[in-house]
Amino acid sequence: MRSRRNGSRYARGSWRRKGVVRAAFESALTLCRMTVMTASRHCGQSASGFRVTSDVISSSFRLPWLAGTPGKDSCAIMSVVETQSLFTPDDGLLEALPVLRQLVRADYLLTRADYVGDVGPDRRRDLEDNFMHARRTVTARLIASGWSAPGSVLHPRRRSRRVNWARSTDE
Amino acid sequence: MSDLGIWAQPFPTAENRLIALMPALRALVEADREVAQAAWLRKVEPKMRGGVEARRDLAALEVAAQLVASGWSPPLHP
Repeated sequence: MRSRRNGSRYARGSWRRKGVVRAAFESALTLCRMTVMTASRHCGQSASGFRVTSDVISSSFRLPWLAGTPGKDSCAIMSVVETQSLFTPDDGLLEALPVLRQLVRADYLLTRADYVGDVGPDRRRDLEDNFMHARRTVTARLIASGWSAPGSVLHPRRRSRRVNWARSTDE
Repeated sequence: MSDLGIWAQPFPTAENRLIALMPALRALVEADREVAQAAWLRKVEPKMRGGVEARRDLAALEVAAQLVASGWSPPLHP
């Protein structure tokens, strides 16, 4: 017979699992929204745009029916998603471009130093510090834009967004 | 980094996983440079400018996909 203590432990685990599944689902859904938004924005300009985009989704989430979707079908998928209002305005990556540029530059300098091999240990350490600093800055920028780092708790801004949304719905 | 306030904390796992994303980040930065160049030169036809912007957005999407695949969770939009 299962003890009361075991039962409560099982219940806690179950809730944790539910949370993980829900978080994974929300991530997938948000990415699909972003993808569809990008695809629809460029549908008229580039026929291959949506194919590339659907391939990204397909490879990331193992959805083979989306891969290589030709023009007409992709527009049909988009209209279905559009009617369900699955759009999202921004993912914060374009805002992060200035710090991403710094990171790419720091990585380039470090790689070049290793390749050419003409820098002393002090200079090498400086370049490495620069690269680590740039990585930390990019991580901070992404978190400030609402992204949640791997293994971290939900971002407070995301929580408050949820609360605000619930309040506005109640009102 | 000062404008990032309290978010400028060390996240070793997240920072290490960014290394694997460097090719996609490089592609995004390069695509953004092309957009800036097209706008600055003003020699590119509007249709073509749309093309470079589309490439940049797709590069951003690729970065987003790789971030999610490496354990990041994207911002939620109600």
